[in-house]
Amino acid sequence: MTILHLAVLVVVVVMLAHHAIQFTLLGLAVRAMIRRPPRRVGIAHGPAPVLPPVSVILPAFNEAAGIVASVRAILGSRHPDFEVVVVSDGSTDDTVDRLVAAFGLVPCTVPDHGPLDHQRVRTAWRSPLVSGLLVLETDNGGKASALNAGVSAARGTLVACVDADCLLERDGLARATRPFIEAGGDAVIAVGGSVRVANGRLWQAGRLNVTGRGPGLWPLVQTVEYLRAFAVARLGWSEIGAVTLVSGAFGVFRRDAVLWVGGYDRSTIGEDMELVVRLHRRHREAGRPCRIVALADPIAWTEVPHSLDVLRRQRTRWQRGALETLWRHRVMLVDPRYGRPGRIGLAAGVLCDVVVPVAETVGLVAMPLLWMTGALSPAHWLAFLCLGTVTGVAHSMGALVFDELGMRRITRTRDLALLGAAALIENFGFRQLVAWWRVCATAQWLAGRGAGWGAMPRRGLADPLAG
Amino acid sequence: MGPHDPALTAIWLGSMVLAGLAVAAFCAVLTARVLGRGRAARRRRLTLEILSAASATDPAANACHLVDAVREAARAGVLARTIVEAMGLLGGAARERFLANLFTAGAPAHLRRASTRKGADARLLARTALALFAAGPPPQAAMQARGVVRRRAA
Repeated sequence: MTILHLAVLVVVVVMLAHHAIQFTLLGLAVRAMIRRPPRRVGIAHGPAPVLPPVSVILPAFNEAAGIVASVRAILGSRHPDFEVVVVSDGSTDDTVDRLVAAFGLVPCTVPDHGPLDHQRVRTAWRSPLVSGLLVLETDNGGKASALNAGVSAARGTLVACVDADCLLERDGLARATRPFIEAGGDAVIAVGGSVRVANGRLWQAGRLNVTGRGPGLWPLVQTVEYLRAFAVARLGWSEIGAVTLVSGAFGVFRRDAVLWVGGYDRSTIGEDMELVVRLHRRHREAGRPCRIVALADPIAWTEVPHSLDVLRRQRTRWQRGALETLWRHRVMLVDPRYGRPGRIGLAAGVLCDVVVPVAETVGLVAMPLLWMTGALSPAHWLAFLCLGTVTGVAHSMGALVFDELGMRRITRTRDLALLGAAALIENFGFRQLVAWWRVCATAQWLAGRGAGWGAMPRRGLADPLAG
Repeated sequence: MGPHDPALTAIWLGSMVLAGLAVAAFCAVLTARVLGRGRAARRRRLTLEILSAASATDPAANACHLVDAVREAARAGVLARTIVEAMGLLGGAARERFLANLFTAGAPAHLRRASTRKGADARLLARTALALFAAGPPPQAAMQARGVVRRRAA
């Protein structure tokens, strides 16, 4: 057996293990949905009477295109007690000016620095018209710094960290805060919401409406990816208590727990995953109860990259963030006291984030080489290709069917059909491209080459005709 | 690895079965969605019919039509929701008239059946609607009209 044969064998085993994990997660998600189907927040269209107070923190860097719509969406939330804290992280565009104009903000006393590490707060604004809206302008220090500034200034028992380009559904906050009271104590320290792709929709009159314009090919493919990740995988991990990532786009945390572990780490680019893993680690080391859950029904809608270049930068950042966290908390992989988050969640992270992209890329190179040298028959090559493609398609279609039966948030039949087509198309080029980007990001990380956030241009979801 | 390699056959077979299952499941939900659009349109039509017929000032004029609409709406599972939502919008005399007309059309009997069926939401809605009828004795006019309806329906 040659090295190429061995490589192909390893690739096939790794890919089969990867798909086995994905289908197991799909099964677990189905079990979670059967056990706890999404509920209406209140039978009489009202919120539950007792929910803990929440501070919604929006870190914003040059988010002028969508910041007003995002804040309006949150202000329209059906939750009895919440405030909104927007932290402009040294924005150089008119993010703050738009907020000042939209909500009639006036300068107010800058709140105390607080216990967490963040950049200096230059100015603070409050609205005399809208109670519970606080805007902080800080020196530029990155997303973690902005989030720390927001958590420091927050007054709520819970903090909901929401990306400034996200639009929160009206029931999103109420749904995401329920597990904290249903658990009846300190057990639940974080809840991850679900993030969906809003490209092709417009924020009009307080609602996110579908429009005639399509989302475009890349956002369509990303929609399938997001469904797999948020509607299925996170729910599956949550079912076995092994959630290691609460997306920075929408997550709710107990404020005291975040303060206890020192807030977001400013030295990593994947601050959301790092915080969640550190929460698991510190709580388990101290023998404190710790449960982090993911739900499918609290939904935030986000605008995903339109172009491949922006998408590449985003995926490179995600990959580096995951690698940094995995490396920093590698002890959790082997030490049994860290339980399922370490031995299952992080171990799966190593397989899916580190091994699978490399294996997929090696397979793509090794199989044609073996075929050309006559070491692999065309029939076998085709069979392996077919198996890889079919399992990918089946997994994506499974996610679509699961979402359709459990959540039913895809508004139009045409969109569902298009997503079905995207589930097929993504296996011919897109998936391989993403794997290649992840391999490159891994190589850059190993070489110690730095990477920043880079510009993330937004089109904005607000209706341009609405002014 | 010959042409009759059992591993190869297993891979092809497994792929085909998996692909078939995935495509069949997806097509099933897509078909259900297309059929559901027809059902949704029918539900909207029935809701409108009940709202207009039950709000009529002369119950006898619309009696037969209302009996049919109520029966069909109960079958489509939209009767309780229509009643509960309409009661939130109507007030005063219109509210009483609405309830009285539905009472004469036999809505409570349909709701009682619905209140024992599967589906927690549907059961709750049916019981809520029944509670609205039970809140007070049926108006005299409704009791008299009931006889008219029965005669015409026969």
